[in-house]
Amino acid sequence: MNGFQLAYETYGKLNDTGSNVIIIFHALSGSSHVYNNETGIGGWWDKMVGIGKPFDPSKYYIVCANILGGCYGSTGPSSINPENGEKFGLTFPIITVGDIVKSIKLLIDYLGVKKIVTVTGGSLGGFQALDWVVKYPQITQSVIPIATASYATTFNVAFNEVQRQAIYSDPNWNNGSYYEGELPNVGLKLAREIGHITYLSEDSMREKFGRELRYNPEYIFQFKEEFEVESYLQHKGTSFTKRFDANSYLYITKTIDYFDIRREGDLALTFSPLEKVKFLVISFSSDWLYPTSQSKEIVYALKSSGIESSFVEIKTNYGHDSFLVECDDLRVVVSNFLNNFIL
Amino acid sequence: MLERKDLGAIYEIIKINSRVLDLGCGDGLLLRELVLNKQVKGLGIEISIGKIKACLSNGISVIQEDLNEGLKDFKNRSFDYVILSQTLEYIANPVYLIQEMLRVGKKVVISFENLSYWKNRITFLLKGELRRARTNNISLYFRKKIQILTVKKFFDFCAYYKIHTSHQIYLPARKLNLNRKFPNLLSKIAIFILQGGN
Repeated sequence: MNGFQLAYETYGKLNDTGSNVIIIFHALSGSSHVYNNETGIGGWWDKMVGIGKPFDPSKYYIVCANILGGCYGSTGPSSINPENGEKFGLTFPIITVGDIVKSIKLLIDYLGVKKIVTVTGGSLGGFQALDWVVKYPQITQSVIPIATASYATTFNVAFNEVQRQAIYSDPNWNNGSYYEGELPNVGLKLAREIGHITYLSEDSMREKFGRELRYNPEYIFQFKEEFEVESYLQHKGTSFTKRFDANSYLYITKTIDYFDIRREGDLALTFSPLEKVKFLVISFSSDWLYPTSQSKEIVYALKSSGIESSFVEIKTNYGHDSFLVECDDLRVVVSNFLNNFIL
Repeated sequence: MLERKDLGAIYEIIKINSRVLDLGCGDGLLLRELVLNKQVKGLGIEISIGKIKACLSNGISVIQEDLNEGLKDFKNRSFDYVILSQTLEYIANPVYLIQEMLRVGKKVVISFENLSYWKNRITFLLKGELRRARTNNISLYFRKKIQILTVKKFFDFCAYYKIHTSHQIYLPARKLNLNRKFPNLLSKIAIFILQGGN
């Protein structure tokens, strides 16, 4: 690619030594808008970013960029290819986590950052945080990978594949060339509905919906949705199509699938040069998409390479989405960890 | 300063610049003292999230883990000291854990409350309770102490499993070295230092 655009937001002020920096990486459907910041538009991590919160803009300079391949301002398949004036569609290259991280490093250098207190993110954001710290350990004091893993598991790839198939099978998708006509919203909606199930937990779904009926006091025995959970998923899927590009969904799920940070299959080898970096690995008990066992693989590798690391599994009911949900334990754990760093 | 006397004594044993693994490290105060004053490289293992928060706030690295699962993935002899202070009482399979400690640590430090301390004996005689002398904290009494430990029992244990004890510290300290002569009777807390690195 000949040049690209990165959409980013920063909060707080960079200090004189350029060393009070926190980089937040977003997950599949996120954007650079991590914090409300009096814009009135809610940020995707307002629970963690804000005055008096762990990522406090009165103390830190917080940077969050939209990932390459996304559709919130950074160059992606829905952007115009300057070479021919047409939207990229499937001519856009496959982007790896490494590509994303390198692109954000360019931004960080441009912003005059010298030293980073921590890099963090949940899910795909955690992939980027891990990749970042392996690439740039000299300028990074710590990393907080949340609800994430050192590689996409077979299970992750399988779910991503089904979601992509949902998009491919929409005739409107038209091999990615749909920007002039009808959008493949049926496929994208279905993909998101599948994805959304993987972000929740059985318990939280049972608690939230049970077998409650949506419209009628009794069963009608019909194919139109009857249960609360059905209409909830439909609603989630439909609203997603209004804010996301189907091709971006394909590209980013591929980005996830290709991620594997293990060097020659050995994670301890990957981490062994990171002697000076502190790790805080966090998982959630009800997360079955990126389960605790995946976080523990990271922790075991750190242990055996003698890297200073902390690990906590937070008890929650909300599945993989726990990192986005109101959670005091997460806030306290992260705040307490960060308070020990010299800016 | 460390409030708990056994932690104070353990602090004195640890050599500067060593690598220390503290099992059931609580709020991490021992490790913090060691890191600050003895330039130790420390790591704690703890199961309670409340204590983990305290450790993180004390700047101590801590891994949430159940000690009953052993010390998986720690390499042999990867720490100079592996500490277990007043925690052995709560471990379901103490033999396995101590063997794991001896594998991972060059030296193993274990402190525990000696239930055959004379005051404990009197409490048992008068009240019929295995309750700590001078402890009025009822919640401590009801906490699941699943191992009954005495100095004599620990010596027997080490002899049976052919574990080499390099030395012991008995608290409180007494005149004329009396508690070295009668440790099972006179020591409230015992600290055993074992030779690890198996």
